[in-house]
Amino acid sequence: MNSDCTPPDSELRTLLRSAHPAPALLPRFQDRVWRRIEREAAAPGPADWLGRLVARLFHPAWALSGLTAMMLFGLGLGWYSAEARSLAAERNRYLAAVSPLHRTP
Amino acid sequence: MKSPSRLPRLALALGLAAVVFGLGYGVASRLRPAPTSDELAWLVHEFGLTAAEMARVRPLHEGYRPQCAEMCDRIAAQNRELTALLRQTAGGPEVERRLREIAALRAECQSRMLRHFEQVAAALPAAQGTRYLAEMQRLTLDLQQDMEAGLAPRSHERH
Repeated sequence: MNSDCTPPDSELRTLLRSAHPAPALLPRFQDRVWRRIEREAAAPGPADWLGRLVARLFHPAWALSGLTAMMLFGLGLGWYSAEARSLAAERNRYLAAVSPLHRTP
Repeated sequence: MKSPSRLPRLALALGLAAVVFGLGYGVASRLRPAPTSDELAWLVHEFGLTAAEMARVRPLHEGYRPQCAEMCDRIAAQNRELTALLRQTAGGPEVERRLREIAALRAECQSRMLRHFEQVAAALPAAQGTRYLAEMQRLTLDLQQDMEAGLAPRSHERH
């Protein structure tokens, strides 16, 4: 390879710059770029939703509301299912009293 | 990555919620009063009958009970005799005669039941009476319907 035929890097860069002049940057361009990078680094990513949810669940007000809701839901469902079981038992007792075919094995 | 360290906290929260839910469910199940021993309690709860309506229904029920008990005894006796007979012989005219007797007894039993249901329905307000009759017919006759539905494809195959 003949190094004499190849212009030095600095000369090449100067030549390229003169051939394709770069547009002037907006005022405070670098400052804006760094701010944007910082903002995006600080913002939570889409994978952080679980962390936010857990943090919210452990907030006292949210925790108390959630546990109260679960307690009420349990009470309601427990009452409803006990009512249904009781009604089924009463119905079977009535059927056994009026239908010999239900009583006789 | 932050998520794995938060998973135990999430599991703890869910576990706590499940425990609280279970506690509520268990307490409510035990708080509800136990069903009464009254045979007619279902009518009161299901059809919302008043004391006056129950006062009309109860004598009908008490009058029907001995008939029902008698039918029950007769069906049980017939079943016992058929079982004993089947231990001695697999078939034959005696078994067929017993089967016809049992079928006739069941039909008589169903007729009496339906008459009683009609009497009770007549003693109730019109809307509850209609619902009671439909419900009792469904509850007391559905066993036969299920059996017929189950046998239908086979009987079609035979023909």
